[in-house]
Amino acid sequence: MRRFIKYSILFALPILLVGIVFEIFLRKIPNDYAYKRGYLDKHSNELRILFLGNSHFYFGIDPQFIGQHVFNASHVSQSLDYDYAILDKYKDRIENLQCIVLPVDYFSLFTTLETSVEDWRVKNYRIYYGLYMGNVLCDNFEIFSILPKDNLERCIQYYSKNKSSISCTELGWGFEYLSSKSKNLDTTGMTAANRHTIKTDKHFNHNVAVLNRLISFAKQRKIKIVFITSPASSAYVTRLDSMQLNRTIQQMQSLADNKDVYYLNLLTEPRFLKEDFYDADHLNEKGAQKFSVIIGNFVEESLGK
Amino acid sequence: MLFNSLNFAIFLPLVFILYWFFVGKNLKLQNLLLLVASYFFYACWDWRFLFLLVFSTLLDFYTGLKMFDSSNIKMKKFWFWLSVIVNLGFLGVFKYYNFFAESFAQSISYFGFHVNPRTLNVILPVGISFYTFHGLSYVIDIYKGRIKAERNFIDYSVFVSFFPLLVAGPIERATHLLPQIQKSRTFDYTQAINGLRQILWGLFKKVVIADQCAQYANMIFDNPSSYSGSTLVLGAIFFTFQIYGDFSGYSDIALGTARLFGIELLRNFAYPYFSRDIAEFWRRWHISLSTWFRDYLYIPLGGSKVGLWQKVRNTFIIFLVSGFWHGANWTFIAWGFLNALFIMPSILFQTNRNNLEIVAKGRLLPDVREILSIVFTFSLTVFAWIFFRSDNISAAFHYIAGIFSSSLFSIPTVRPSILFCILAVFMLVEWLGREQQFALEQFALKWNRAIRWSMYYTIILAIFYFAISDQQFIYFQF
Repeated sequence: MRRFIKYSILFALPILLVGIVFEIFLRKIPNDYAYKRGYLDKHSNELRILFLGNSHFYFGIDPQFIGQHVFNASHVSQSLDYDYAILDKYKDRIENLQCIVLPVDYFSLFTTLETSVEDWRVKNYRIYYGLYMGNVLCDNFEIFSILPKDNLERCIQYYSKNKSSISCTELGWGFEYLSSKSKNLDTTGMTAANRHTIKTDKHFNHNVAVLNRLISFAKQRKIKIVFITSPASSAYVTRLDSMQLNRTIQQMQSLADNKDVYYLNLLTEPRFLKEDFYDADHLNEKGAQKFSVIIGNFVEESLGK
Repeated sequence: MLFNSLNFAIFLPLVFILYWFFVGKNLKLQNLLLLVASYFFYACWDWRFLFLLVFSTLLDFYTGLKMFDSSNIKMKKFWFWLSVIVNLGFLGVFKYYNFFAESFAQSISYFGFHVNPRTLNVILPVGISFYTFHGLSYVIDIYKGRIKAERNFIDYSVFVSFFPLLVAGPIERATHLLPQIQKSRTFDYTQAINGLRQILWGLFKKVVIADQCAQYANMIFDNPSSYSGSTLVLGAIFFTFQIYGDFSGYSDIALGTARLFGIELLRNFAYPYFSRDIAEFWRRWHISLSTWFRDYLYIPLGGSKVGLWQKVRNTFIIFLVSGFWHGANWTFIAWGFLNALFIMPSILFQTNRNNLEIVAKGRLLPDVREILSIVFTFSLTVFAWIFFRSDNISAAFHYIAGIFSSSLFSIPTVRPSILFCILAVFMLVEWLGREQQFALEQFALKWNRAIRWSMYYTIILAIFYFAISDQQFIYFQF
């Protein structure tokens, strides 16, 4: 047995060492999650308007068009429970916060990050935000959450080409969906609508409960809360399941009181044209500017009430 | 908990340490620990089905005792049939109910009757086909007087639920595994090291061979109309390697893991793609299932000691049942039927036991005749796998029709050169190690530590490099 242990340790040691070094190197690569956490750590007490949410806001809301002390803390595929967890983490520091804005889209009430295809992103909240949700062991490590091949590529990009993984501006807007790289709306509309149409409603009650918690938290702090259904192209909207969509809209309308809680449905907003979209359900930089201005005006109007 | 997951990489050393350092040579504690670990392992899939496993274990344990203690032949029969009917009943409900209901509805629709069958919305309990067969073999062996009933429930439960074999075999026999469970195990360095080696080789087969081939096989099988005949052939070959890497890789990990606990499981694969005829292939592919059907179905039906036509009938029965065991789909039955057809010449001309030894034993290379036989047998196997992989029979025929088109002799449009190289190296290693239990063992016997370790590190590097997230094992669905 002693021999077995000796050789097992000798054999495993280099693998462990390489693994640890790789993990450290990966964590040192600047990324959106670490950046936004750092920003919130430093500036959460100054914030007046906070945007949370998924990729529709990440690529759609550019705080520079809204005003001062506005920050976009959304991330791709961030579900409502993670929005709440981020807010909860900074609850003692957001003394100047007047408004929280978050998207409730076609899929928002029917999905959670942990059960989606993007579940690998959970590790970002554990490692960089310190939010311990879910119970998957791999989510504690960079090396076990992303394919080794892709991790290696990230390391090469950063350590040899000095290219970080940050793809958002200082105020948190994701700048990579440019009009010059736009995708075919019809094809992306079909795949996105398919992906977002959920055949089960097992997360519905959970998500509604999260929204209620968000609302009562905001009410307690006298913070206004605005829920938005983000604009999408007709290539996407026409392919949506009407039952799922109506259920979302009805649920949100029932939560809004137009005093502390507002709901704005921009899904089929005619001001957004084909050229505003990067793909069927994401805005490009032009669309983001338009969207940010509309939302900014709406929020200011609500705050004035 | 998948074998190729981080959870298992933590679970296994933990159980190993508890087993050898805390429990020591105390047999009762060794078995109790293995049982707790096995139930925990199974509960990680779906804890609700643990009740089914415990119930099935209790049923076979109890009926086994009742049968063994009964001097009345009628009572013996009663307990035997109770166990068989309940075991197969569970399997039937969970695995085959929807298939029969839908097939019935479809067949009567041909006569103008239309019914909406009430289908069950249940998921198949993982490993049910495997642990049901464990239990059945135990009950049949007692009924036939081949073994005594086990009186220790913990020991019997470990026999049914030992975690390395619980979800996808090998399908063990009481005569082979129970005596090992009844005996205190002592640590054996060579056995443990060999176990680790076999786990490593199994992981390589799963991650590097099966999962890489799966990407191309899925791509081609999911959309066969978009590819040329030659690409479709390649797709079928990729699936042939995928299923071998997947299932034999799983079996290697299972056998290697068991060895770490001082237990030798039945061998499940013996280089089947080097077979020279289909009969040999079936002696080398999923051995524990083939021998199960041989011992508990083929021989009771008369085996080979009956007339020629009965032998033909028995062979068809065995292969059709074997196909059906894999899943409730006509594709599996067609796959079984095809294999029965392929083996017929060997049965009719009584050449089915011609190739008992591994090909070119003691030689480096096979002769031309052997090469041709291997290629021919491999081609038949590839053809049959098309049915196994297809979603339904018409998809399989559509795929085959696509192969036999004018584009059969064109250059395939899918040409993953790295995968071709990996497959070539893999087959070379398998060839060189074909006289051992598993290919990597060959190098362990010949090379010095520095070279051996370098090879192990290279394999580990390849496993990490080619890893794809959340890849299930194919046989977990059976």
